[in-house]
Amino acid sequence: MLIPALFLFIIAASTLLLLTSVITAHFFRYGVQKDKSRVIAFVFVAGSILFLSVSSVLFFSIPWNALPDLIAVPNFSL
Amino acid sequence: MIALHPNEKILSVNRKVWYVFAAAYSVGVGLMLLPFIIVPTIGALFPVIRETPPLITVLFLTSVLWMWCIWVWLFLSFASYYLDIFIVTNERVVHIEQKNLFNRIISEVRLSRVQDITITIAGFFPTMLHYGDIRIQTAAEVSEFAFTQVARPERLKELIMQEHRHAVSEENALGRKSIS
Repeated sequence: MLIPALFLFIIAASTLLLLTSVITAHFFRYGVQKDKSRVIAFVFVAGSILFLSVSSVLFFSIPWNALPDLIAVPNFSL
Repeated sequence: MIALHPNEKILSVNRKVWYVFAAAYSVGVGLMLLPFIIVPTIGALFPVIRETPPLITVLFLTSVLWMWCIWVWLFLSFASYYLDIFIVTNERVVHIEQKNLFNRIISEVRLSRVQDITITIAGFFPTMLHYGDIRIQTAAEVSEFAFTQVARPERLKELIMQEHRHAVSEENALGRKSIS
């Protein structure tokens, strides 16, 4: 179960990170002189890094291969 | 950053009023805080989850990913609000319209080309909260500039008209110099 979960996690995290980088680039590139666009970009990136680190720690603390036994999922494999 | 000409100064940077988007931001913040209600509810409804620590961690992971999605969505909508700008300099008026992340329209007009300015403050909330629309008729290729939901449009109109008078008098002075 670890491989499908890891696959889904990587897809979700990389999509969100890609969006984060595009939005941050917009704030850096299209801000006006003396406005707060860079500060906003830093806050956004800091939040995204926080979410990424918390979700990574949570992901790797889950015993994925033991989960089916915990929730008693029937094994249909031959 | 907007590229300025030599000796050009930014006089006013205007964005739409923030409270026009307050409802959208409230919804975003509400959605972000939703796991704080849903996770305890699931825990109360299904005691087996509460008694199995790895399942609680799975719920937390789902919640964090959900909150991250809403965080990105909030900043995505904030980008289109914050980067939608109406700038008045001592030479021109620049309107940057950020429709979405990959759709950006930039139009500008020299102040001497400004012909008429109309402001519209219509409705109870715009009157009470002092915001409205401003429309600038120009003699340029883009015949009308419109910027909606701007704070204190009457002050902006006065600023543009004042700078328009300066620009026209400067152009006339330059014209007289070149003739003589």
